[in-house]
Amino acid sequence: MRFVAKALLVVAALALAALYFLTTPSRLRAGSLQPRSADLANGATLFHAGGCASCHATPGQDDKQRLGGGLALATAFGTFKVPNISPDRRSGLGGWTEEQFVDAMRSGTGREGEHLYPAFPYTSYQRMPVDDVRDLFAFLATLPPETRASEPHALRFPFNVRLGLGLWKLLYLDGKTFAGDPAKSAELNRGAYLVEGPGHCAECHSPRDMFGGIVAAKRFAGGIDAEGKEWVPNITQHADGISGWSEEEIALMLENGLTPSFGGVASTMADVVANTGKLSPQDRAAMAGYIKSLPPRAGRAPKE
Amino acid sequence: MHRIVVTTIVLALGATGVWAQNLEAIKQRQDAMQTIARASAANYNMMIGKAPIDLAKVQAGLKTFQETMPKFKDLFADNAKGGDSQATPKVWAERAAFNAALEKFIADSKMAASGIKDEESFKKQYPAVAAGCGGCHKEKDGFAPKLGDSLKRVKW
Repeated sequence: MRFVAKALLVVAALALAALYFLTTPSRLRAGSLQPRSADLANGATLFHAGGCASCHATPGQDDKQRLGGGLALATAFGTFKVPNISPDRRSGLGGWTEEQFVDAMRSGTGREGEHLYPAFPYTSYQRMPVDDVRDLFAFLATLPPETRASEPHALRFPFNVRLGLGLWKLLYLDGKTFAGDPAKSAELNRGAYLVEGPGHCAECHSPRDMFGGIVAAKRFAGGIDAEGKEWVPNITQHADGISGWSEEEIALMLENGLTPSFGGVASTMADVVANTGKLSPQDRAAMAGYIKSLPPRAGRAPKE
Repeated sequence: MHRIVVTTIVLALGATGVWAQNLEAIKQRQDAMQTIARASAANYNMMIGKAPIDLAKVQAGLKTFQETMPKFKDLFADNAKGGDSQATPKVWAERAAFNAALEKFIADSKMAASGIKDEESFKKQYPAVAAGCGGCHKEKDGFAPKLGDSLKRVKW
């Protein structure tokens, strides 16, 4: 009996150790990135493809390059407060190292080694090669510093316990950098990268499960937005989605926000188009080509 | 006996009157919606380069929006519910929000009409007007179905 109790204790201790190990945020060693000169034009492209401004630009003013944060996202888990990512040394990313920024983008690890919440879509950003992330970081550093201090999130228990995110990451973060499909054209691979990586289209255009992870079998088949209000449309080649749109029509929507049903996108997608409208026509065409290749998946807005 | 006959006739007439009015309102708003759809299609085709940009035509379209949209405020009376219509019950349940969506579309059209002077300003300012369709036409919780579904009923 005493032996069983001891064995159980050992197993429990091992399980705890394993849990601790598995849920510890992953980090790059300081100084592990070799010096390199950044490609600022590529950084700007990724900034627009990534839609950073849509969440991080300070609300209530028109300059989308003032990234002082402050937007409040009211979700089922509580309210997320978007942080300052301007190059300000005190309030923004000014004091961050490249390693810390790469950790945030690709591992969802914050500067203090804490887990970041996936409201910041690192599940998509992890697809970006380290050099692309570094170019983006260099571009962000060219924007005006903003002094507005970031606020802590106001989340409900148990979502306010960051360690739990370690388990979440085991489920939803695979750490894989985007690798093109050699059987497909360079253009299609470029589109796949922009849509699946920086563009993070699936983060809104997919339903989520009870833990807030994307339902893989319904990826791109539409879902309710993070605030639980609007239906984000199915963008697959299913009749529920946009099978009726041509590649050109998808590219045009990404350019000017008009849809082939003669209307225009609104709300958060209008913000997205404000960014994709600044991409090159080639990049928009590549994104459209990839979206047009998405397998058909059923998904419509729930009936009231 | 007399009384029953008279009552029946009065009731029947009343019902017919109401029913006729109902159908008329539904037809009027569908005609108005067709007018909007045609103007939208013309503007869209100019925006995407399917048709040459004709600024007079753009202005005519924006005028059509401004003149046609206000009609919807009076075409959804209580006796114009149901029937052969895609309007959702939300139009009647949330009238203030419905009217606000109409007003926004009218105001945006007006602003674009004074702001659009050339091809560049047309391309820049028209998308915000077109986004107004989504004020009512939504896949979830809209005053009307998503645009693609409504367009299937337009007779070109």
